[in-house]
Amino acid sequence: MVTADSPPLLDVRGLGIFFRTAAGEVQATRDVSFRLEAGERLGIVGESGCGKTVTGLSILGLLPRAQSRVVGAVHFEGRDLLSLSPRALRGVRGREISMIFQEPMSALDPVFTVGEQIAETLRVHRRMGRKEARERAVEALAQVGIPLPSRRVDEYPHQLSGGMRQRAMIAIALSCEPRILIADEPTTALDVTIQAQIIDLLVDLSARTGTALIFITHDLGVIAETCTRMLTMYAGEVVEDAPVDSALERPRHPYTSGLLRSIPRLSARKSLLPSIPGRVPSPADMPAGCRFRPRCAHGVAACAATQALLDVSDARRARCIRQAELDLPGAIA
Amino acid sequence: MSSIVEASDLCVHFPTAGGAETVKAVDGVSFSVTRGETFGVIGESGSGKSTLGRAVVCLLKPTAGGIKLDAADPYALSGAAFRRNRRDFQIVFQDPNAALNPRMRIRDSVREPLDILGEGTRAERNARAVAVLDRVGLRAEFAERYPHELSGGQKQRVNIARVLTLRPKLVVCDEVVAALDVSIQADMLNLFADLQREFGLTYLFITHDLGVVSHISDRIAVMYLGKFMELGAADDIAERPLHPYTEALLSAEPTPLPSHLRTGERIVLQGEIPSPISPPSGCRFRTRCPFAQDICAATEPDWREVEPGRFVACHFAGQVTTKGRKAS
Repeated sequence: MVTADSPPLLDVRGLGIFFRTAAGEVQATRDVSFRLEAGERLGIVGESGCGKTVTGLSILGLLPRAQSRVVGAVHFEGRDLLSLSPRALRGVRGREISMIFQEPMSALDPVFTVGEQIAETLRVHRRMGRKEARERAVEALAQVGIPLPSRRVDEYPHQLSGGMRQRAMIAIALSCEPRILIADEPTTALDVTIQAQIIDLLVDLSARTGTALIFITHDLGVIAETCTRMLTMYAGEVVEDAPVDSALERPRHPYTSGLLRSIPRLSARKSLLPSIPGRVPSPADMPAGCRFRPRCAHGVAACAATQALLDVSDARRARCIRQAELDLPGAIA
Repeated sequence: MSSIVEASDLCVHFPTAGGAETVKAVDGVSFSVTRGETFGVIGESGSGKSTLGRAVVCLLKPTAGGIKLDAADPYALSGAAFRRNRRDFQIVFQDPNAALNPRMRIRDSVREPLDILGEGTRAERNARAVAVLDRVGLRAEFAERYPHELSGGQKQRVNIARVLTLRPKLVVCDEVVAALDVSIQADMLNLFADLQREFGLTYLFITHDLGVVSHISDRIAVMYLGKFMELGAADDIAERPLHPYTEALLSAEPTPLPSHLRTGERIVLQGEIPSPISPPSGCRFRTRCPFAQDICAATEPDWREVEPGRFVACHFAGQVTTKGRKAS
């Protein structure tokens, strides 16, 4: 894990994201803190509305400035990304830290060929010439397993299948050999057989190039197969931060346990599935104290106070006052 | 036990935009669905599973082969009898938003099927709509709301309520939980199981999610490029796949287990599902099959019953699978 003498690649501290709405300012995330080491593969899991996507976007300053406010700090290579000028941030985006999204069709420009879109990144960030950038684009497509890359490089996004488009997105994102790739639900829209190909590709590229991954998904199965560490988010807070295997085996937060238990695959066929009662609260209507308390079966009086992220061990933290005493069921009950 | 649906060599083909070619979305499937069971259909996008579901509720007319609903050929019935019988066979779709009219109150959407049938007075129909909403877990106050005031899970409950008003015998569930978060999904699957017990419903459950299909189904059919590859009891399919495609699908599904408990290595299929306009010769899966031989390109494998109730279309069924898979 983290050693005192080597600062982490990315150090997110006390990230709070606020949005201005007609009804006043609402807080989407609160006190989000985590570290990412070089080459590490971190999964961020949680249901819709828990703050996973906005956390990813805020790291790269991609939230709309007029409607949002971000507090805290995101340290990357000695700089706080949150205090960089838009111009300085453009030098980081796509070059040091890249991002890919769920829907490649809306992230790719339909009027430019795939090759032109990879070349654009290289020409801007690496100041490559046209010819060199094109050659490098063909290599990038080959690297992400696109067959016949020298032909595909001149094709438009609509000519590619969903899986190939996602590969093309990855090729663009990795073209400048970034230190970090943030992938927001990159396989959610894909079939399971294509998802398996993309997961293999991302894990393989990360291992080969040393690019660290932040993998945002609602699918704990994908996290299990892709990541080394996972962050569970609930209602805008990090509720658990642990190595993937330990979190799956013995979760320390009732929400992580609830998510795991509601997966059909882990229950006996045709049995009643344990679900989490209620729903994720809206940012405008957050419960006081532990935010999971209204849905939690283990609440006690002390849960009425605001909960801190407690150390479980060197490598684990959980935002639950009862983390040490509860024996919560994980992937194996 | 009698069959509620019987399909024999069912085909649904569509002409392409120019009309020059044919998309063979469903290309010859035979099966029967037993009253009261949950019949699961899994497959990738483009396998034809939604087209099959639509054909079962007569939203699409078969271009060849036949379908019998309640032992009768629906297309041999008169218009009035066809409409009368149709209420027994309903469908719920994946996108709960697209299925609801944003300008209608929930109560009106749920009541609409009864209005069309013209049963009882308006007050009676309203009362029935509210009662069914209550049954799917939505309090009376939801009846007055509009779709945008509801969450995705609540909207999907409304869609279930509106087919239940008709007291159908069979409900085709086309990816009904795919758009929902996992804890909401668990609630919905529990609701489907409750409703089945209470109303004696039969489900044709279409999904790409293996966890979901093997949890809820009694039997599972595995579909690929317009054809069934394998059909059998849910436990057998999940634990002892005989077709290489079934095995690959099972192994591709990410399992949320710690690394030391994950079984074996994944079979990652190369490439993607071919075009249903010109499916490969012989076995349709051969272009992606790690075990394909010459015979697979030359001869289409028969749909054979290898064990009682267990059908498979593969020349080498059961011989080539590299490992069994234990369900957790």
